[in-house]
Amino acid sequence: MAEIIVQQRPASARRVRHKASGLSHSTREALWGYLFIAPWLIGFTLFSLGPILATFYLSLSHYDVVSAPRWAGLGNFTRMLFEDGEYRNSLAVTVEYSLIRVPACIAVGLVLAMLINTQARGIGLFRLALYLPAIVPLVAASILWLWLLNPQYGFVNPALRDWFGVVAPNWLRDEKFALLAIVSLSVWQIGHTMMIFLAGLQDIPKELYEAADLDGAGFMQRIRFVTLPMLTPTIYFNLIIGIINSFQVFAAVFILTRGGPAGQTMVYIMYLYRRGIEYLEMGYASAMALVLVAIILSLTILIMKTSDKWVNYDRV
Amino acid sequence: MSTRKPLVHALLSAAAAVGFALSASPTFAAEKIVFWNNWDGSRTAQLRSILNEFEKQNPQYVVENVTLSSDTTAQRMLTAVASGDVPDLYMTQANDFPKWAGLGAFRPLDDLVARDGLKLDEIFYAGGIEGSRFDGKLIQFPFKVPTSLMIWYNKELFQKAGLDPDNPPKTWKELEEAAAKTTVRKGDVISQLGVNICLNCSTGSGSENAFIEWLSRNGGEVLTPDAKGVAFDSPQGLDTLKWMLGFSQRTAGGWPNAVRQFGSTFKDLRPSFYAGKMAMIMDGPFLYNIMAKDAPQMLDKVGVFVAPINSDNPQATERYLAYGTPGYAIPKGAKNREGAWKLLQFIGGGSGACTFFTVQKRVDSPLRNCKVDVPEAFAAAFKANGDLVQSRQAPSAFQQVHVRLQQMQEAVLLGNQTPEDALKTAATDVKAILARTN
Repeated sequence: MAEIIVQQRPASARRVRHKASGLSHSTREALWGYLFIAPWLIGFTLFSLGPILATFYLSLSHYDVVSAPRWAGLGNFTRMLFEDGEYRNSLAVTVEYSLIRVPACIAVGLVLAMLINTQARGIGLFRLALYLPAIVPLVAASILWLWLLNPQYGFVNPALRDWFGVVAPNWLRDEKFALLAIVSLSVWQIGHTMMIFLAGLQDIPKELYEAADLDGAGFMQRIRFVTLPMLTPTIYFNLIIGIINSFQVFAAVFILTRGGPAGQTMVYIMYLYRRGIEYLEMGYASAMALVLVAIILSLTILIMKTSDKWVNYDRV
Repeated sequence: MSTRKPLVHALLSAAAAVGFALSASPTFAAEKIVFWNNWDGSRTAQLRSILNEFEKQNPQYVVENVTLSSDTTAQRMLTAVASGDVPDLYMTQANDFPKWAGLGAFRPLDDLVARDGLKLDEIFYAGGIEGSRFDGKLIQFPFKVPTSLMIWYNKELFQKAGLDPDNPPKTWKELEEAAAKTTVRKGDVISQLGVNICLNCSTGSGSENAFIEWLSRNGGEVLTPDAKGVAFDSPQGLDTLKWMLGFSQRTAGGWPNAVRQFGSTFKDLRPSFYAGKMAMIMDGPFLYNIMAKDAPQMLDKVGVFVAPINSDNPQATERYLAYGTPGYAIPKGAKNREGAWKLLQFIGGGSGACTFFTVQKRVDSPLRNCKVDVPEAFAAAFKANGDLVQSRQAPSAFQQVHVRLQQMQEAVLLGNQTPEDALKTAATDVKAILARTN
């Protein structure tokens, strides 16, 4: 076993003071450290900490931006939880969206990663093609979706009609399909998840597959007993990121449906935007934001707490 | 002669030239007027050339024209008001005008109008200027008249269906008859649609409100005259919802069926109308200039009429209840208030306003002396449509009321609520909105 030798500086050296400034070496070192992180600290204090603290205060007040905030106590929270049916709808829609999107993204991302996890000739092109949608700006992608799904002049409906004789719905204006249409856009932009899975797949030792082969494991058994267990840390990461992103979905909904039809795509942030920006109920919107933070934090902690039971960090 | 003499002469001449140049040019720097508006696309350049004319007439000012996307205007204005860095002149939309006016975000204009002796009744049509007041104060100049949706129709399709193209529908019954005759449907598959009477019906789309349009033609009111109470939960309101539902079911096999195949927004429906797949379309008078640009071949084939009334109700008249008017307003805290007022007179009530609408061939100018050259048949219908506008006091939370009414009509048309239940729950919600925001 290798010995670790820790060399300590002599006490006399540590106590050396800088002649010009009169500061100790460690103090000077700390000051330099703070100086280097100062840009981030200043940015955080000015642009994040202030708004975060303001959110706490505003959530307890009525604030329309023009007049000064008026104290409301817990009024915004009680209204939100007990009186506002639209709020409850937005929460339910967001949960539904997450329940569809997160597993879909993980499943599709994993399958695509497995397909491109090969050294075949020209695989780079396939990887590029599958990753490309992820770097298309969301606004452009949403407008593309608007056109593709247009019932009269889009690509999807006439293709379904002409090739399969199916009268397809008006995807973005149909209560049953609008949310799925938004999920489909998100799944199309699966590139980042796919690349993380690809990295995870390439990290699985080849010996495990060789051992499985020797034991006579088939394709599905290799996936079940080698790939998936070894990928659990990657799945765990993608799960947490997926949930956080799903609860914050906004731009696609804003462009594609604005929360319609009949509130079926009124996700949490879209409703928060409506209350805060369109109706100028900034106090109420702040309260909504805090509740969202609490929900995401709780879910993340819950997943972290249960990760011991299903995430496998063992390495050979 | 000293060798220095030519040099001295040269310096003196240069100094004189500089002095002359300085005296010939204005001795002040031009003041900036920041103008926020939504005139995007080809209209940005048209507006710029009109603003250049303003700058030529008023060399003391230079206009910074900021074109905003209508999607982000609310956000931009919110941050501007919160930070105090507001534009000098701001373009309002029908729904956000009462919101900002109710919060006191704009400078009232009455004193400036009195100071400069403007006779507003001679400049503007009554509907536009009345809709620009809030709590009795003049807050803005309208940039267009509040317009009711009209019904444009394809004369050839009318003729094919055995209808008289020169005698369009005047009542709800006649409209339904025309829609039924011009709809070609096999089961649920519609190859030609008569009309979708709930344009932009889905929650969150547009500022149009089909329920208010049809309620107006059924003798109903949306709110009480002081805008503090609910009035749409009336027999007229219930009749209107029932009629909208029944009409869609009888003519198109239900509103969802029409939406599934044709959509419900301007952008969805116009291409179908141009392609002869829809016999009628609910749209504004502004469809004239849009069609002139996008489908000029259609102008000879179409006619237009004001939306019909419910002839079963003796109190029903041709009218449209307008809540809020789009216009130009000067935000409180504007840095160049005097310049903004000057520009407002030019682009809101003066020659700039008329030129801007004329070059666009827009027919909804709020100015009395601004005529756009359109065929007589259209002009008569546009005038009739303009005459039926009745402005109502809008509460500051009108946008919330509008969205709630959209939700109500959508719930009925989708079959999620009965007209009775939808009306009742919407009335309860709107009362709560008004109580919370008044």
